[in-house]
Amino acid sequence: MKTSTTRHWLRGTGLLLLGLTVMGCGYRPTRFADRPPVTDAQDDHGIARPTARTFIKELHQADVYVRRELVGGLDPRRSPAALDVNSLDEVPRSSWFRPPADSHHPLADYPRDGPPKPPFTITGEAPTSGMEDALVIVDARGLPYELQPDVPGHPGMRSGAAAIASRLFHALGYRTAEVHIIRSHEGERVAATRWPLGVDLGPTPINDTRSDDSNDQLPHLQRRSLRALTMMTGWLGLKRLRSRNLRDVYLGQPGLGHVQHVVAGLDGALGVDDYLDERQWVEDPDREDSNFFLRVFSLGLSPKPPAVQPDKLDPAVGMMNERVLKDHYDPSPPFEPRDHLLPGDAYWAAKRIAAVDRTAIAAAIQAAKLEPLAENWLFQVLMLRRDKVIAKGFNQTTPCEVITIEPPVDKRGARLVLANLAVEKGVHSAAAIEYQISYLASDGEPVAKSRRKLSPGPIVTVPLPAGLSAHDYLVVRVVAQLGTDERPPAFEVHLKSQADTFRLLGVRH
Amino acid sequence: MDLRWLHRAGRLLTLGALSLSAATAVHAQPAEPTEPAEPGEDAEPAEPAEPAEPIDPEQAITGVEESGREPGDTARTIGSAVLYLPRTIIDLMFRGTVATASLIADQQLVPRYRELLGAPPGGDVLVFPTLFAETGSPFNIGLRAIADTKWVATYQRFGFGIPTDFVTESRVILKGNRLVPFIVSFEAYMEDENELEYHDLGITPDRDPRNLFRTNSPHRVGLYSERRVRGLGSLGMRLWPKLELFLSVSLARRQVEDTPDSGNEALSRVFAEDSVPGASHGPWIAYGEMAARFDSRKHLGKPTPGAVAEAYAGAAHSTEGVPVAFMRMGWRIAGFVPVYRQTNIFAPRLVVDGLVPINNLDVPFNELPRQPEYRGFDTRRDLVSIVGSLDYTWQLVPFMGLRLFMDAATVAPKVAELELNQLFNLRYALGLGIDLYSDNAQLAQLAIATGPEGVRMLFSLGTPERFGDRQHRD
Repeated sequence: MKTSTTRHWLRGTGLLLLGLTVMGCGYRPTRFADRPPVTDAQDDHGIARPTARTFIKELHQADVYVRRELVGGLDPRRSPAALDVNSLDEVPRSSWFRPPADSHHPLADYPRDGPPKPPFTITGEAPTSGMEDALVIVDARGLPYELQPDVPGHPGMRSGAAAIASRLFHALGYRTAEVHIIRSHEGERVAATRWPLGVDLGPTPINDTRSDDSNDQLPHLQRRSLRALTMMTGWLGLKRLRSRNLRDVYLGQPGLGHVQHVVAGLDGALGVDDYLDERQWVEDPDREDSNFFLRVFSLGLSPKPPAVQPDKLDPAVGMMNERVLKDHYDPSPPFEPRDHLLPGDAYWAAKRIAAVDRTAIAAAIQAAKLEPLAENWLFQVLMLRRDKVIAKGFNQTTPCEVITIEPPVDKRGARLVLANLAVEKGVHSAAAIEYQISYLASDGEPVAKSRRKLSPGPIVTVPLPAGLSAHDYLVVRVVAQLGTDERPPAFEVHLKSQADTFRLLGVRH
Repeated sequence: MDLRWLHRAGRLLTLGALSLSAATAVHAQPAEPTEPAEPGEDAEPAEPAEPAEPIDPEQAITGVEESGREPGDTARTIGSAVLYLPRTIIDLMFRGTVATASLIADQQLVPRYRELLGAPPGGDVLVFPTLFAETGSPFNIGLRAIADTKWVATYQRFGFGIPTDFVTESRVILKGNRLVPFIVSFEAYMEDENELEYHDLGITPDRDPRNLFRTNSPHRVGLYSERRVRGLGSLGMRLWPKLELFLSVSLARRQVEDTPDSGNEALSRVFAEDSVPGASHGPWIAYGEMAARFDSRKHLGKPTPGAVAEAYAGAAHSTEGVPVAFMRMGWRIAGFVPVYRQTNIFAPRLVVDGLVPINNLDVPFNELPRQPEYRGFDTRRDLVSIVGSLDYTWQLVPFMGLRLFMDAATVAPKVAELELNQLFNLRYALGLGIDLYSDNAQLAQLAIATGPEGVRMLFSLGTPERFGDRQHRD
């Protein structure tokens, strides 16, 4: 009797699980509310000053190297979509991100306080930016700055990287600490970082929110601005994302201010960390072989690889060339938001990078006050890397944007006009792409026959047959199939029927 | 929302003018809420919007009314539910024990770990779960809480050895750094352990003439439970960066009973009546000790060259119950010798512990030196214990290393009675382990040791169970 009951229970449970699996295995599109896209997250309400966060290196290392791997391995769910993204798949203005006010001159609003104004007063305090060898000063206006010297023998390398990367992150839309190249009181070339911008609250928590900041509501792992950061590090050759690179500051009067999340301490960008690591490795008498298994089975006695001096073009530039290394896309220590980088996040990052044009890049490099040879080299390399990172982002999804929805004219029905940014940027030839278009209702059921379409250029017109307007909510899925390559994720356009045409509710990549 | 501005933009768009910034502008434009315009009507500029309501963060920014679903999501959700418990346990475990280890593994002097970790002047409160498991011992799960301020740290620990063991420990630590860094610590400790083994005296207990087994018992190992309570006060000083001195006094009691439901394996049924001192009574024992420790290693966590030497001496006297008086003394010495690389460390170590009864008074069996450093099965006790070991560790990556080790251990009634025969009965264990560490703390360890007595596995996350100054290792 007991065995029979157990068997029935097991069978019932099995059937229930099977049923749930079958029922839940279909596709159902996201449904957007009928409201305009959010352009400001409004996360700058006045709050009491949060507690400064203590960063414990040991805890962080164990967290990212062990806990993250184990817990991630035990979670089969897909990474959830980013939550700091509006219905048009853009990151609105927030305390984390600010779309440039003038997209043609993204550096126009970079200087807020400008370089420090002499005379400087050396405070004697320890630097709080995390740059250990920095000197803390207060300028004539009473504003604090940290002066960081260059690596001996490499004038301009570290200071230049800090100045350029800070400007380019600003151009991308991240909030950054200003860096200006100046001569110190001793006449030495230094990078002057305006720091702290307000009250320093320590490193930004990466996998948690601040419990004492009521504006900080979205889980940080679900922030696109963080997930996509590694695309930016790929472009700018930043091998390490240290705790000092993401910082929180409290801006404003006590009780009225809010927290801003700042990208800072970028002196390791543009291959500077690569060079310093390489030099340290060469100088390390215990240098290890890169083969992990050899290290395991040799009991640590594997021969020391020969010390080859790192080779680079100019003392003022780091070890960076047009090859975007895996270490730059996957900086060390592991950056947990990257684990959740979705194709739409990478695509957004590529768009942001593509929006930083050569003028802005040149202006950022000029601000580093380097010799022409170094400037030229950096410009060429950054342009080449930019193209590669953009291609990487565009290749992860169907890189289309909505240009317009044309209403029906005479016998022609309404049309959705898209632009393929990968074609426009020359990443792919238009002739190589076949667009697969499907029309779905809000429950995911097809409501019209799927189509295949070719397009001679970047503009793709997607017909919206007349019968579709009978559906209040319509999802148009477009897949840009490139030859026999793996089918990329679809670009989804969510439309609401309105008279005989449609209006846009939202898009997803 | 009016999209005719998009329409106009589309008409104006030429291929040459199509730029990414334009595409970006398409997204940035529809910022303000507008009413849909009638077809054929030119769109009017949007009216300034009313001040927006506070945004519901989870949904309002995304504009998503209902999340979508991909094929296979339900199966993934079911899988996630199945894995929820182990995932959550590991998650909590790591968040907690790693922090605990960081904070208190360099436990000898609190000012040093404050310096190491840069704990905030305003103080901090940390609560962490912990986990220990080893062959032959209960699975131990617990919780540690630390409240740390500039001058005072308090520490509370609860541990549960599944199914019935329990330990709780409270400490208050006063910290200072006047002439030298120092701590003054007060501690209350209580532990219940319900299935301990006693093998009696000597390296070969079943042949040792001092041991009296019941003639009708086939067993040679008795099971007992022990309740241990202790109050401890200590003063620790770092006289020199590499030299620490400890003075401590404690009042402790160990009460022993047969393990419930242990039948013929109970302590009282294996050993002759009154042949095991301390088995039938648990006197309160006051103990005072002085210990000095020299440690020249730069880092305590990762493999680092250096040397460690420690010596201690103390005296105990019962304050109530059956008279007990004895002295403890011992020393340990270890070298950490680099081999080919500074991160390959060959480490020989010798640990000697001794106990001398005063006035020939009996010593409770559970006060006799044990051999916690021996990584085989710690089952022998006697008045003298010697453990020698050879470790070779090599670093794989900056936070992880492998370890090969060999331990040998013996016990004897006196140092003078150590004889050649001991060599034939020497207990040994060979093993392999993997260590996770930071510069100054061991974070986790997984080790397997094998010897004639069997295979022992050890897994620990966080601070070793018996951490602290020398008395905590008893």
